[in-house]
Amino acid sequence: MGAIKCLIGSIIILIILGLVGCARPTGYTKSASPFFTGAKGYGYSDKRISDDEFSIVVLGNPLTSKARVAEIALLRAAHITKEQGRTHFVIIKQKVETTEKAVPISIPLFIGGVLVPVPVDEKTNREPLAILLIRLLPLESAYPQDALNVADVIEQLTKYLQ
Amino acid sequence: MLWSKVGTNELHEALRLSLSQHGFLSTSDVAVPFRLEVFLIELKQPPGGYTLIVTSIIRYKLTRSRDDQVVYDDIITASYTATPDDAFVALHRMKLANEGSIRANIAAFLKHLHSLSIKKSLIQ
Repeated sequence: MGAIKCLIGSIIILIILGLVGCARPTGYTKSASPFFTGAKGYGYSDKRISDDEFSIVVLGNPLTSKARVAEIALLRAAHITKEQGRTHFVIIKQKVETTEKAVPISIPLFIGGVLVPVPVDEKTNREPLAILLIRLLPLESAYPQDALNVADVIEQLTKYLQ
Repeated sequence: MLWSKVGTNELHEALRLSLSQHGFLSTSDVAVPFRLEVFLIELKQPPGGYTLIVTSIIRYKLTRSRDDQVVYDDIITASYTATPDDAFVALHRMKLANEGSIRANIAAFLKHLHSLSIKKSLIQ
């Protein structure tokens, strides 16, 4: 009897720790592909559109604000620019929206002596989505007024987002 | 699980068909007044589940050939929800969600196109 109580207590503590551990907004992290890992796709992903143009998409978990996903996108833009050996970029297009994701609600049940999560219902989460299109500027002495300096962006956002 | 995907070629084909059905697509290659560039930025698919919501993010850029002026340049996002009522097998459900999302995206773009008052049969 005491062993069962101890087991149930441990399970409850693990569930609470798991929930507390997950309860954080999305940070500056690359979005993992859900196809092989089962990951939820939170974080940034990027693509080259043309020689000097890139798209950046950031999906945040429901605890993440729209402002935060926009800032993650901006920081990724700065890192891409730096990786390409440039110092400045301009924003061509930017958009921040909210998307919906259906999430199963599971309860843990002992089946054959093993704790198995059994889905019983679904809920819809609202998640922020930022989309950014940027153009890298060639290295030169004078940049347009709307150009963003990579060093400034990285310095301002890195500490705050990581 | 390996979900079905939508590539740029499939998107171009779907868009060509939609533009043609709505009478916007030019039937000749000579002196077409508007050029349309389309880029599939991302197709956000869930890792799995019963209800699958897919979001497509597409950039549409319409340029006037005469002076290379961009008359429309925007990113459209559109979602589609597929449930087990639509398809019991998850792979089929995802395919439906993908196609539905792209269809919704193109439909939103066509709405913008109508609001631009572009005459028909003028886009390449």
